[in-house]
Amino acid sequence: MTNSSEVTTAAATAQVAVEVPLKVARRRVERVGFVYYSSRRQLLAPGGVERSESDEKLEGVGEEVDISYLKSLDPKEWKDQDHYSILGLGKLRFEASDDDIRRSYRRMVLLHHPDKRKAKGEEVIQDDDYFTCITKAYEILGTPKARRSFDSVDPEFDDSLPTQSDIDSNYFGVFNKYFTLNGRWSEKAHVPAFGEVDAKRDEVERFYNFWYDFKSWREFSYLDEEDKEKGQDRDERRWIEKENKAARIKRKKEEMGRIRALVDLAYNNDKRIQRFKQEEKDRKAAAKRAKMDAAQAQKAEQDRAIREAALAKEKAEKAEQKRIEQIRIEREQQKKILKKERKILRDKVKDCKYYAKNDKDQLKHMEGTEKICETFNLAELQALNKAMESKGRESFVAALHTAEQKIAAELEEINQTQQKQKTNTTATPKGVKEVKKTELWSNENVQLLIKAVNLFPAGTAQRWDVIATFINQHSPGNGSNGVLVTARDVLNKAKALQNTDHSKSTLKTQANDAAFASFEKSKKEVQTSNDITLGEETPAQASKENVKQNGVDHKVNNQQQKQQTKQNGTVGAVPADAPAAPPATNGTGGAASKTWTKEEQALLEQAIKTYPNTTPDRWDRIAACIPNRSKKDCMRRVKELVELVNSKKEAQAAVK
Amino acid sequence: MWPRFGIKIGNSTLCIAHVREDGKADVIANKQGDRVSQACLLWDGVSEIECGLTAKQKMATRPRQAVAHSFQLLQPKDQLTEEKLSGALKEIPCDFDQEELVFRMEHTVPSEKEDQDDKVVTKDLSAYQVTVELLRAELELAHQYHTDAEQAPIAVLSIPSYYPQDSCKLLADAAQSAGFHVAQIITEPTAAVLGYRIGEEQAEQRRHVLTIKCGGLYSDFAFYAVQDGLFVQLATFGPYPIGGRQFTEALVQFICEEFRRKYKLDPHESRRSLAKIRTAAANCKHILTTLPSTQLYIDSLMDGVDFNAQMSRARFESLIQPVINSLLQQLSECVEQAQKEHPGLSTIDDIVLLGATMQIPKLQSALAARFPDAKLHNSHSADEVVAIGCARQAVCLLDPLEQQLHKDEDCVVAEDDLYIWHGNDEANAKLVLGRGSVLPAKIRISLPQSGEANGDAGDNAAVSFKLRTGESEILAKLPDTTQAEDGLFQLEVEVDVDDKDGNVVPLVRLRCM
Repeated sequence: MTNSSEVTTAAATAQVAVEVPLKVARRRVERVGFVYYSSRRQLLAPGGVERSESDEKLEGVGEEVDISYLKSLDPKEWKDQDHYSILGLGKLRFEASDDDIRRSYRRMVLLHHPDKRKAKGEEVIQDDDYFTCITKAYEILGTPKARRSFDSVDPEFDDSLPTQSDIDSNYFGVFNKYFTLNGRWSEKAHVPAFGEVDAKRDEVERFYNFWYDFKSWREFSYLDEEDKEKGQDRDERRWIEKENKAARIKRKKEEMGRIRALVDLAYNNDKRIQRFKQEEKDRKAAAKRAKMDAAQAQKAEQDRAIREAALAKEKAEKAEQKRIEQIRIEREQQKKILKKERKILRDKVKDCKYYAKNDKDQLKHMEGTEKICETFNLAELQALNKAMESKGRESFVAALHTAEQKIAAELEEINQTQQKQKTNTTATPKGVKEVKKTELWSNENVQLLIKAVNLFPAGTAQRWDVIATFINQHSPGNGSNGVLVTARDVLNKAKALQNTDHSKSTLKTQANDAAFASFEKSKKEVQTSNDITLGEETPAQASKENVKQNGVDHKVNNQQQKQQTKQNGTVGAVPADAPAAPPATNGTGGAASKTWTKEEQALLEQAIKTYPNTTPDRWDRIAACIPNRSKKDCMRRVKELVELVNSKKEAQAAVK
Repeated sequence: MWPRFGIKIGNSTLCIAHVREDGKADVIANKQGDRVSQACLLWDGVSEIECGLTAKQKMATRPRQAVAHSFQLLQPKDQLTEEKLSGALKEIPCDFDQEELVFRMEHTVPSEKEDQDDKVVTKDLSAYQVTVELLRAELELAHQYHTDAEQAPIAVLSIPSYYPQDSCKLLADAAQSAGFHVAQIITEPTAAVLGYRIGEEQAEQRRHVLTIKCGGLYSDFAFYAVQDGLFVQLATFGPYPIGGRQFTEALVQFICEEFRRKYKLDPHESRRSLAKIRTAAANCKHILTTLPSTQLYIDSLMDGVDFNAQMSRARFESLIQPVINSLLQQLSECVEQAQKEHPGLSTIDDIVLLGATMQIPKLQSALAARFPDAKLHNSHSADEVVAIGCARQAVCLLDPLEQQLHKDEDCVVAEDDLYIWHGNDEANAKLVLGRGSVLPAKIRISLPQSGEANGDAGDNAAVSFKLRTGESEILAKLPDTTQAEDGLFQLEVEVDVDDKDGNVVPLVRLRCM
């Protein structure tokens, strides 16, 4: 009040800066809390913050309400009154915010409250005052539910549908207006705009989708004939409610029908929809056409390609034929020339009596001439003929010499290539297979095969593989040569063996021959030498062979062979009247050669079973069980058998 | 943009609160149903990393694979002094590489064959990575409420008051890579003060707030002046190595003595036994904050001997009395020092407790006895209040997508009201600036024309306004060209400050709209 300083600076922008003795302090403020942030907001807001205080804001809200209008209101008729215009919100209507309503109500209260008017000296009749209408209006508009029901039946709302003439004259204008008008009932926010002529297809579709599933919040409880609360008792109230509900539903249905009719009207008259349909049709037709065109073009292209290919092929064939013809002609010409030259040579040589000095020479030269003719090519012949013109015999002899040399060289070459081929064939396994097929199936191998076939009966897992490995393991020749039989070879051979007539088989004849030979030999042996021990070696070998042969065809000539071996054994070891020869005197080979018959084998097996490992003098007892067999024989046999079984197992394991 | 989240991360625990637009903050419970998660991490030796209570439980048996109390190491390298490191290392179960500053977890894979040696696999995690893992677990909780796939959850994080500014950046980066959008990082005591809404009722006089934090390992104190809704941090003290660990340790010593007395066995000999006792003691401590007594039972503590004792709160309190005393002594020292620096601190109006350890009733009552005049705020659980405060701060954010890492700002604050009116019509005076407004400010105001000024508008082209603050009145004449509409002047008042030789002088600019 006392200290009044005046600092005025006139500025063009009507601005004045004043230094104020406002108390301020500098503080380090934590950047937290509402106060801090609201002050920050003030600072950041571009136009500054409006200092709004309740009273001043009331000014400028709503419009002035005609006092005569207010006075004309009858509080009893509140239901038919327009509450918005009572509060001075006749223009804003449903767009008025809650704040607007609250503020305009407060303003109306300030202006029209009976007490205020009384203070101004107006006369107020308490019972029937229009102020009741103001409170009633606020009561309805101030509560969201009541406001909604009033908004639903807003007397200012135009429920009509556009007429056909309107549509024809200004389709987009009319519907834009109607849809924006009706959009206010939407439960969902963001009602899509109706759009203009050039709207995009998806926009239009979205629009119609939206409107065809339009959900309206409009309800008609405001129009209820009677208030439920007015009912005397529960039954009456229920009845009223029922009536009201039915009426509401009916109205709601009508409303939905109205909206539907509006949308249908719009849809049916929509040029855009027609355009889209047409476009779609065109597009489909175009696509179809394009597809057909493409198919045709493709076909034409294919035909053309085929034709071209045929043409090219023909051309190529012709050219090839021509070329071949050309070559043939050339060759013939050359041959002709060659013949001619040869003739010249022969004639010349003949004329010169073969440049012979004597008869022997003549013969040699005659032969030589032919050699020259054959070995020399065209150019050489021509050169020779020329040379002979001048030098005669000298050149002929020289030519003879070269011709012989050439022949020798050729021979050498041939030999070499043959050798090479030989080495090649041995080197490459493929060659071996073809070349040595027969070699592969030597007698030994065939025997092994037969043995294996019997050892591994049909039904053995991977039978042929097993057999092949068995053969490879046991064949002495195969292992060292590195030639191995395969399952396929084995299978083929076995089939061949099965199919061949045994009477014609080489094996049989061989076996028979061998058997006969050995028989004869032994006979001879017996006859020639009395010294038994000396002849021992050969018959043993022979019999060994026989045993093997026996293995091959033992079904056919088992009996014969057996006798043979028996004879061999007896012959080789001791005189025939002592069949159970003591093996001590016999050589190992001889002892081994004694073949075990089936009966003996069975006896042996039985004996082994009866005398288990633990039996004392086991082998003596076993031997005693088998006539004609010594203890050592038995042991050897068992050993063999064990080996056989083991090898069988091994072979099987190898395949697996 | 909603809900937003407030996260408290500390050495021992984490807590997350969510808040909706209305500002009501609520703590989110984790999978175990606890509102506070354990800040422990356990590596399973292969690839999986688990966090929380399960990790803490397994930590006792597999200490080489676990990381705990890692948050204290989330500081830039140069800040980690020898002293800090050696103090921190005592609390970390696994190895810590002091060169690389990484936690080295070891896992022994038993060899398949007997003759081979066992294989040892190691995994290195920096404190930063551990923090990311822990926050990722919190993010899972946040997703219960946050469903927006495009926008990462907006979060305000807290950091202890004594952490350097660089740590804020580290923490913010960690939270970002865990999947949060970090809007702001505020200090723990500030968050707690905010959590209790101190000073929000526009209290006229200045309030002084003392915050006492006692967490798992450390405690710290801070003094705040709250005036007109603005918070000013006056002083901070700490960290002091008094925390929940010390309280637990007191109980552990008691149990050891008791056991030795009863069975003549010393549990100190076995690390495993000690770990068992520690777990049981911590548990017992938690129970005794709410219940008057509990049974202390440790199965097969040592050599197959069980330990069983009845533990009453009174006994517990007598055990922890020395720790409380040391804390109070430390606090008294700090208060004295603060009062020396800020004479205004002679009275302390509010005390805010934060940190789980502050829930111990004896501690609270001891504080209440020490500061009988102050209002003790303990309505929120002390370990949750920081998260709640952070969440409440998340509501205030002006632009939540902007990141704000600086804790405070230098502001010029008006300490008196400023009024303005037209002519001599003082009755229609309008408030331009209230106390506590931050300058500069720009206010639009509509001023009713005074009746008498209307009369002499003709003789003077300028329109005169009067400004009043305190006892002084100032006349400002505006060369008016626009006439007032409806008897109202639309004015734009800009209150700015002019810096004159270090003295701030406020300057008011008037502009007619």
